[in-house]
Amino acid sequence: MARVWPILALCLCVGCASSTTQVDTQNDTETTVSFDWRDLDGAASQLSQSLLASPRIGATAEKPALVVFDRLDNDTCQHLDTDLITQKIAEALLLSERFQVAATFGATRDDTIADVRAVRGNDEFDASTLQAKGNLRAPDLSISGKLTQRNVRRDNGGLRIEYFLTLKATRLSDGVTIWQDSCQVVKAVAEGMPVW
Amino acid sequence: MKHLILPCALGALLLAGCGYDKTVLVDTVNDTEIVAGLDYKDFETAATEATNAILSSAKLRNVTPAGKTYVVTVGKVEDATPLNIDTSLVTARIEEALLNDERFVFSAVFADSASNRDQMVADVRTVRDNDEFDQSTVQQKGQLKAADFSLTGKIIARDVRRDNGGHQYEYYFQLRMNDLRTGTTLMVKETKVIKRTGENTHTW
Repeated sequence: MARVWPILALCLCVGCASSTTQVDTQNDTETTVSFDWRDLDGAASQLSQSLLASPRIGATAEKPALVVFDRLDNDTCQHLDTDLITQKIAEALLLSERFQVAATFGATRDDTIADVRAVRGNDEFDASTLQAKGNLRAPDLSISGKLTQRNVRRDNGGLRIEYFLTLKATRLSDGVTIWQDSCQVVKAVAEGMPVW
Repeated sequence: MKHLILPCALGALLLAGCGYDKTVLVDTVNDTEIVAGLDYKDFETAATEATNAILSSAKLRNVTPAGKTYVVTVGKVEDATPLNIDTSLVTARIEEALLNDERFVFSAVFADSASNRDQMVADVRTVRDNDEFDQSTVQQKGQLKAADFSLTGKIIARDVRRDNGGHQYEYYFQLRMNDLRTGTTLMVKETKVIKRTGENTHTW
């Protein structure tokens, strides 16, 4: 009987310990079937490097390209806010002096840009601090794309889940696509494994 | 009867250790407990990373030469999670940190959330020409400052299934600093917080 108590005590301890762990994203190896944070990071990083390296964009530090984000369709069976992709691209582009990002158009536009212009003529405000007309910049390039998912049956009865992310940059002056690139992430599970 | 005393005492001790029977004040400096939802530690991490990105942004530095103060507004920071988060828990910390930089002040006139606007700015101006007031103490016209920059963002949460049936909770804090003069975004910073739990933990 005396031997049972330490085991019981251990069980109690385990039972009350918190089971949530914080993931060290630098040293993590667990894979999920979803298009998860690692895939988002990898895809966004790969495609933003490709865009930054594209010779046809023609942007320079003196004349940077102003980018706006158009639709990015989520054609997967998962809830995924596509801002998770576009904002990572924006983050990478903004670190380059050759690119700027518009806040006047698209899903992440900032309503305060209009709000601060609505007080023109209001004599409570110090006129020298008001935003003058003719300063807003219009975009040069629009980035759009699609995230696609395919579920493919394997010979052994398992499933392969294939993800494709395609992005393209359209030059707004003449409406032609001057850059496009894709990346893929493929995952496989064994038969009988519940996936979603 | 005697052989029950030790186990009972042991059990009581264990329960006390688990904190089931009394409230404890959390030492927020040395706290290591991880919760599956978002907690104060995550807000602090997100705010610190965003603040560092704002202060180290070359694009922002180029348009904020020293010798002038710039007015920043706290624009819309959307809570796109099912957790019902007051996003000012993140923005307030960024405000506090940026106010320590002499270049920045925050607007109490323009703000997305009512709690970031000060109604008194308008109220004290309604007593002009009220002869009960010493008119030399009433705020003059033409003094309010419009804004130069705006902070916006979004908090996103995802619940991803793990192979073992557990949950992988992915939280993303996206913060942006926009230039109101040119209508461009100067800085974007995403901070991600990833947590894993077993099968039977339900957070949302």
